[in-house]
Amino acid sequence: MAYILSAAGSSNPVLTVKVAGSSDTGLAVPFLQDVTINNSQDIFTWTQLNVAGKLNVPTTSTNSLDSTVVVDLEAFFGDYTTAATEPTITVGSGPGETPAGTVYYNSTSGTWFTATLGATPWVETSALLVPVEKQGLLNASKNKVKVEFDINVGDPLVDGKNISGEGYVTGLSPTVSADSPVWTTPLTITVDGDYTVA
Amino acid sequence: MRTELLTALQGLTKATLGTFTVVTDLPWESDGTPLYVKNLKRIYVDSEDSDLDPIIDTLDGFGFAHEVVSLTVNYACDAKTLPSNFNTLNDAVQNLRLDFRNEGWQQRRVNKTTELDADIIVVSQEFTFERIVNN
Repeated sequence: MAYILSAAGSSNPVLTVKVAGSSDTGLAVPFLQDVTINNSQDIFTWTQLNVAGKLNVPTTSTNSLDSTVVVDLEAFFGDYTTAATEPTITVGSGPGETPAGTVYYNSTSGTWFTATLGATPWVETSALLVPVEKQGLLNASKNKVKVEFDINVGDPLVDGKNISGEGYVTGLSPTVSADSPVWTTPLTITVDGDYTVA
Repeated sequence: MRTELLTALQGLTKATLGTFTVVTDLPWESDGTPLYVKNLKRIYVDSEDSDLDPIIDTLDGFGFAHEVVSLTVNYACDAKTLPSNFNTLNDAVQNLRLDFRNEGWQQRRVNKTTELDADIIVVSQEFTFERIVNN
């Protein structure tokens, strides 16, 4: 038997969220205050005349990951530029050039664009494919982006485990009060299917 | 904050200070008597006390704490013949709390108490500064 440590350093849970099926780096959700990994079985219940107690059998489970986080501006709202018209840019890594992968949101057309090397600097990208670290958790929720999440329980380099799966970001409700120095929000990832434990 | 408060006290006008002077020494005691009672009309600033209480902690070691810093300004003079600028000086010292707007202090309070020790009136103005700091 062994305790599962969670102290800040190598053992603290790190929740990483990225677009499902992508090769994005993903967003390491900062400032987690608490994490709950839910696995709730639906139960089918019936009675029989020859048995005093009710009979139960599990059917499918409802899985979700719940957390409370301190709202980080970039993690919550994303890292992109909003403009009514397409900005004039040169894509590259030189001084004054826009790095490839930079995201821009056209507020006039309500569409997303990614800076790409080549003849067309801005290439339209579906909201479902804009990296979570670029569009932010709020947009990932609003745009109903299917995400892939991963969280470590304990130190993964020693004896910890990784729990991963796919699902949807939901349950965001940023809150602040006169007594609170910062905004906090619950965060739920409703899991599509089952967890993978590795 | 002691340095900042001393600087602010030294910045008071001559008309406000009158015959009072600001001393940079700590108000240590000599034969059980604080220096500000031995040396009348000398304004002393005590060393500061500070407190950090956690408010929000996060799993990745980030968080916020509530910082409270308090320090006291002491001075005394003859109670039989109060200097003409006595009340003006008291108000000016009390209002120094408003000088510290840009250091992130969310609360800047002063509690003023006066005490008569034989024929000497001792004024103590306790400054308390509070703010939120992050880890």
